[in-house]
Amino acid sequence: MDFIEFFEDIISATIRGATPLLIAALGEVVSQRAGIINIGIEGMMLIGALFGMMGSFYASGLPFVAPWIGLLVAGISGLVTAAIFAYFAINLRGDQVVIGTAITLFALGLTEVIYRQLFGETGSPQSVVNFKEFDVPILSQIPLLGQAFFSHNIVVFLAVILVPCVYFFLYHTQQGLRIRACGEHPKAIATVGSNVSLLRTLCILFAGTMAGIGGGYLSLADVPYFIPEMTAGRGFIALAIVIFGKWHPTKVFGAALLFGLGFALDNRFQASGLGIQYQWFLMLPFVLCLAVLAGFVGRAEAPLALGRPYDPSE
Amino acid sequence: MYNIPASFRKAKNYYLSLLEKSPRFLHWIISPSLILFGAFIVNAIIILLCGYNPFKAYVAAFLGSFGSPRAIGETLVKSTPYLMTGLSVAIAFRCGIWNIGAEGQFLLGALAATFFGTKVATLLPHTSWIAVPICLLLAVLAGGVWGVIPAVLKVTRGVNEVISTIMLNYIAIHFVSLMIDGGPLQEASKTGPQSDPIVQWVTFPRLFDSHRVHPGIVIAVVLAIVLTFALFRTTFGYQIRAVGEGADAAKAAGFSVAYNTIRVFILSGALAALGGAIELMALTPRLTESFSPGYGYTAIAVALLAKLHPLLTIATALLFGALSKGAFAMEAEVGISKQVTWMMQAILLLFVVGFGYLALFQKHHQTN
Repeated sequence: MDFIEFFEDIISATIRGATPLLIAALGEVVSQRAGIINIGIEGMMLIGALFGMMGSFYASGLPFVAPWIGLLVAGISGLVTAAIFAYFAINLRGDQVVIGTAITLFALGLTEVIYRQLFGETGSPQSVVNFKEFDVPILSQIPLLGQAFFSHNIVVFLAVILVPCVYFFLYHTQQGLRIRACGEHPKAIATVGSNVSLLRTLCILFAGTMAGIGGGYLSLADVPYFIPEMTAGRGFIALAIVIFGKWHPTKVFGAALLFGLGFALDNRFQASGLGIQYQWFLMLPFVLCLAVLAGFVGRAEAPLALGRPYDPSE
Repeated sequence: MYNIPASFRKAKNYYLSLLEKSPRFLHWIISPSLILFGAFIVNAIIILLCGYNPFKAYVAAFLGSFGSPRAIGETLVKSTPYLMTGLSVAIAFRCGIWNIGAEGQFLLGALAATFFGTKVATLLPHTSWIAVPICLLLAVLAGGVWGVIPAVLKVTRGVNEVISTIMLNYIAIHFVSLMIDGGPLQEASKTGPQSDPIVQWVTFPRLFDSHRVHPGIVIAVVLAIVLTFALFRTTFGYQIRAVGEGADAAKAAGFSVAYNTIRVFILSGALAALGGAIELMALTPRLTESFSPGYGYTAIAVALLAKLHPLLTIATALLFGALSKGAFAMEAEVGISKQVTWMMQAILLLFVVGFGYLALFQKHHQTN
């Protein structure tokens, strides 16, 4: 493989690998900015992956829209899971870490049970209609980098467009300001007449939908099938990305690409048989994340009220 | 339409009033039983919705876990890692430390035992009386080191331990993979991603010929009793509980939050690591990448359901051991995936949180 081809391949794989992480992490940014730490993101992604596949499977009669239906179902399944989270975290004011752990365990069990019931356990996984790659007109014809950057499935581009949207929403709208205030000082924003519980609930639902779609990407675009535990910790990686990206949408974009690069290099090094063990690349992002948290690589300040249940009566 | 949130609230109020009326010592039994009962019912409904017969499933699970001496033995064996990691979580949560890192600490303990059992033990006298204690000690050290990292980050840098321990879990998972898949601890034949079996004199003997019951179970139960004593009858335990109930109060009483955080984190890491070492030395002589099916995360359910009480943790660990043993029978006889136990654990956790079972920890979470 010549150098340029290798380079193109790495860029392309980085973008593909980063997309589900980016989608899930953008949702998590919004919820963490509102003061909700959603560890259940891993479970929500897993549920999204299964239901996304199922959506496309049952809509296979309409091959053109099947993956879109799948993605929609994935988003809805994430939303429903997030509603459970929201009920326990907001209405019952339970501890978010415990609820998140519960959601993830729940998803691990539920997806396995449903998948086995519907598709059995033997043989190869059930294939479904998935998103196909397409070349963006003109742009993909740019020499050297065109193919690497502009030949992907549509969800990749949508995810990238989402970054400025979330950024604009969080930093340039009144609701965005309120949400950020919920995460810093919920009491203050309640005093000026905002409904903290409602805002936080909406943020959880948004995060759940995004996690579901991110999971759906795995079974609808990454590969055209579902396998149990296919998220393999990507939800937790998205959590790391949010911190590494310092709770800021554009930096989160950069962080997602970095983690995507980690995945891409990992696969290439596994295949290449070079002297370096691939696990170093898998480990590196988590080590970097710890370094960021500890302030060795630029200080990151978590939202002040992150993880604290808000009690309006206090 | 039937109002689910309202009826849930009613159930919660009824539960709380029931608790108020009953004598205090019964709380330890009533609330876990009620929560267990509720969770079993919700789980049954989900099993039903998935198209299985929940009654048949439960009967199969019960018979599979307690139906014969052999099954009971296997249940005990399966309970041990839950007990060790459950104790690890319980002691940390008691101190207000949200250690989600039992998974990584468990793996590191097993890794240390593997290192000792495959590389070092051959250089020492070939007797269990020397090798086993050293091996356990090494695992404790490894777990302590893995526990001290998030502790120091929390104390000196204010890093939220929930996040740092999750990161450390993944670092541990990949580190284990690094060691046994292409690394120095991979089996000598280099065929698969697993270690060589640890040498015979580092393993635990079986207590009976017919099943896998091993001395590690005794170690775990003794530790639970010792921890109960330490927690409720020593100043060490008093300090832990004081810090857990409120950093300000503890400071006012002259206890150092930082010092207690560090030593409890080390203890918590050591317990989980010891669990990993025991599991390896007693059951699987080889370390593989699927060594832990998420013991560290389930441990949170084990500990919370036991109200973070070490003695009660024995009971809840037994329950989770029975669930995981029973799940095999459920899979064999009813066809339902054995991963259904995860769902069960999740519902239990949600009930624990939803019923305000541990009001204490909702108030004092994350006091930096």
